[in-house]
Amino acid sequence: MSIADIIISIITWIFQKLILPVLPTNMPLFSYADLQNILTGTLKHNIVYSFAGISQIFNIKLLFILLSTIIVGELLFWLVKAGFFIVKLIRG
Amino acid sequence: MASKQQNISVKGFISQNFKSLLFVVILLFILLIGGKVYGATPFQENFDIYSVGDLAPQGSWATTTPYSVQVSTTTSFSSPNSVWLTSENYSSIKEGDHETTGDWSFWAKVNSDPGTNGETIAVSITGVDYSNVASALYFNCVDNDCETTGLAKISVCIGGGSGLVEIDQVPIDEWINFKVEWDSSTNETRWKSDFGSWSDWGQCYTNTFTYVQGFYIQGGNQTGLLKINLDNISAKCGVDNCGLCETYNTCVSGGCSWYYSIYLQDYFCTEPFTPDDEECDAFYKCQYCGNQTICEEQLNCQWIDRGYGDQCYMAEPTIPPGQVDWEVPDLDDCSSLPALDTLVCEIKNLITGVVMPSQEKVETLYQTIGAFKEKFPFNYVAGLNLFFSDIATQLNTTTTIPIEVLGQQSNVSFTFWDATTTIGGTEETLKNIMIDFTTFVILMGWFVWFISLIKRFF
Repeated sequence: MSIADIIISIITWIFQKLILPVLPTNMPLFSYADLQNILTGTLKHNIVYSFAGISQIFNIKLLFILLSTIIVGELLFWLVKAGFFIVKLIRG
Repeated sequence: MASKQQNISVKGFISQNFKSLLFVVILLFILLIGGKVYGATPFQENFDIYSVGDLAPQGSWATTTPYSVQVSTTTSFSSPNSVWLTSENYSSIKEGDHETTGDWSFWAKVNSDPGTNGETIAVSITGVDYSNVASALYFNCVDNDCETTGLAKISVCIGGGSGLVEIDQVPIDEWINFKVEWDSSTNETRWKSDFGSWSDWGQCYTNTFTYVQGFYIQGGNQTGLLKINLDNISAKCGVDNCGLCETYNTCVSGGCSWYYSIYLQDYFCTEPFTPDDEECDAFYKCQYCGNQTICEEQLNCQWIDRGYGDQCYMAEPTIPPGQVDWEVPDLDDCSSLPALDTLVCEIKNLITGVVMPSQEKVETLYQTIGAFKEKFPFNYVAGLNLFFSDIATQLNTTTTIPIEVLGQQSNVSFTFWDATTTIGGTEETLKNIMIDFTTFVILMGWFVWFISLIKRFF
């Protein structure tokens, strides 16, 4: 077993035993299945249909792509804040 | 006192017979671990250790015709090898243990190349020798041109005096699983393919057999074009042998349960478990849903009968990737280098070996990080991202808007968007000018968010 193997074993143990079991799969009151039901239901079709005309003059594709980047960016920001919080918690 | 003496005598017995006890323990261990029996199957075979070319006489395979069945790496159900034969003089047989009752499973693919018409190839299970046929399965392209229809007829010898009975039509150029069970007390067999349920039990003509020991692949002596590949001859995947089921479909069609760990992204086929509604979830954990209502509330789960009563199954089986793309590089080969270079090479390999992670650990890390995708908030974010990207790709930019004025129906005319004007010496349509303008507004809005995000970091 190499040094890298030992480090990976420690990291995966922390992830599997300490972090993953604590993280929830669903939000309270609004489960992931509910979200998927909404997103994969008629909502997508209605939005595609509704924006079909306006997309001739409004760059709706770019808007949605940038919306995705905003979501990912905010998530990264939240992760960094969470990391700092844990560091502060450990340092006391 | 008596107890103490007894303890001493037990200790004495153990110390005096330590080697014998150790032997017994090792023997029990071997029996428990190594002696696990997967049903009554004369032998198992995946062809993977054989050299490319003639199958016989490798691995106790023999041939009864001018050509042996051929080992190939061109296609296989389980890498690297499978065997192929055509409807010409190709054949091979292997004999194993004598089994009065038992089963076999194998994978086969009817090839469209070099062509499939007018011939048959037989896979037989045999008793005393190759002529003592207990039953046979025929890949049949006699009655239909398989290349045109894309289907090969599957006939099996269970019809008693009338011989062959057609059980299925299977697609060509696909690996299909076939299973056979036999019972020598009645001289009967039954067959099953991925595309149908078990056939009735029946005798092959008036043939009798006291046991099955041989697996005989035979192209006969025909001149037409028909070529099949075979792979993974093993015990039948099913209850009590669920560990042998390699795919979701073979697992559930064998009556087994599909285990999926959401934390480790690990999945395999396991013996049927009692559904637990607490574990019931969309996609991979449908089989935990114990009743129809709970089952149908989950995404991609359906309540159907797949031959084992009404249960909850994945509607469209989707299996997450379990393998990491990156592979740990091999160490350098130092054997052909001069003496000093070999020393340097060995030192380099030693250092590399100390710091280089193993493939197994890399995959574990990859799967562990992948498990975060299933957790809040990553699953919600991934779902929304997929949603927006789907909309972006599906948007229709050439739609019409219907209107009705005073009972007259028509479409709104957007021809004015195509009116052109000259800006900076370049002719531009009004549509493009509007799109550029709205793009600029959107980008400005995004930059405002982006700058605020950076400011929040510091």
